[in-house]
Amino acid sequence: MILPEQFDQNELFVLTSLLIFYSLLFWLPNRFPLSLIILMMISSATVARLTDHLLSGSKMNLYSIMDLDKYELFDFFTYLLYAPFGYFLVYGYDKFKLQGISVLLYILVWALGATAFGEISLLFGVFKYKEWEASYSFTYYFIMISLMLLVYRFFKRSYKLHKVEIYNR
Amino acid sequence: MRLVLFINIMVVSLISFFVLKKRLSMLENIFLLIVLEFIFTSYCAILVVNFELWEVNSRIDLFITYKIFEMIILPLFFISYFNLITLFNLWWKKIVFTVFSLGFIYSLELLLVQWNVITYEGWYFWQSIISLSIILLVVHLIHLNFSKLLNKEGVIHR
Repeated sequence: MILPEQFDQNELFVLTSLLIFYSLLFWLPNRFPLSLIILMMISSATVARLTDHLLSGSKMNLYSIMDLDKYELFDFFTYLLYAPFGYFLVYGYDKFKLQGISVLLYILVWALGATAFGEISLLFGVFKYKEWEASYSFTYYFIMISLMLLVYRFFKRSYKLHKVEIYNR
Repeated sequence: MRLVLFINIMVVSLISFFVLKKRLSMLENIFLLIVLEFIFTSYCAILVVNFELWEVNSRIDLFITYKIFEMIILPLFFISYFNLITLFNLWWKKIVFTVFSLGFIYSLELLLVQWNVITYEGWYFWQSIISLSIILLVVHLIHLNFSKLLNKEGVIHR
């Protein structure tokens, strides 16, 4: 992978965010089995990777990440940032045992928060919008966060089902 | 025509994958899918965008054909490989099956080269085979660790 052209504010922003996010992740009391944590974290990172690959790739160049229009080492680090994002999302959802309309509010708050974080990243030069806008980010996060919660429920159900099958043998 | 054929290959692969009895658990299959998607999109981006060793045809139908190959067919075939390899108990049968699978997956890439969907720019067929073998080995090791974890947590029993 390509190293950054200059080690400046965008790289520092990514490294600082990584430090904060992962410190918070290890500081929070554990709620899930490790396999579920791994699944949720790599799902978030992969969704981000697939999105960037499709929207910021060669054909649809809607935005670029970090210094160059190439796949840099720090692009990879931004995907590592999305991993705790997915974990925190399901952590709150599970901890507060949300039901009914509060789920919608929770998703809205997260979508707004993620869009705001995206805009802060923009100020630090992590993203450079070409034909992309903050309103698109909000819609994107709104859909993706909803899907991530559905995926989490599916993972949890599959996990429990497998456990039950084994206990019933 | 090429796009239609690849869509057909994709649909056949998808149906075959979903109707066949899986040897791995649901969580393992999902884990493999996620990991493979990440690895293949990164691998192809490094080859196409970073080093320009592959040139992808800019015609929209051929470009979609390439995307189907990269994002659906390749990961799906690899997941199928990991499910089917468990059918063999003897080590030499596993090796024969691995060689056959790599040859089969490479033959699809070769088809894309023949159809000018991909053009190699200073890239050789053996480099593809080595890269695919390394990816297979890396994913195998990652999967092995994840399976051990599921086993430890009592989710799977092997």
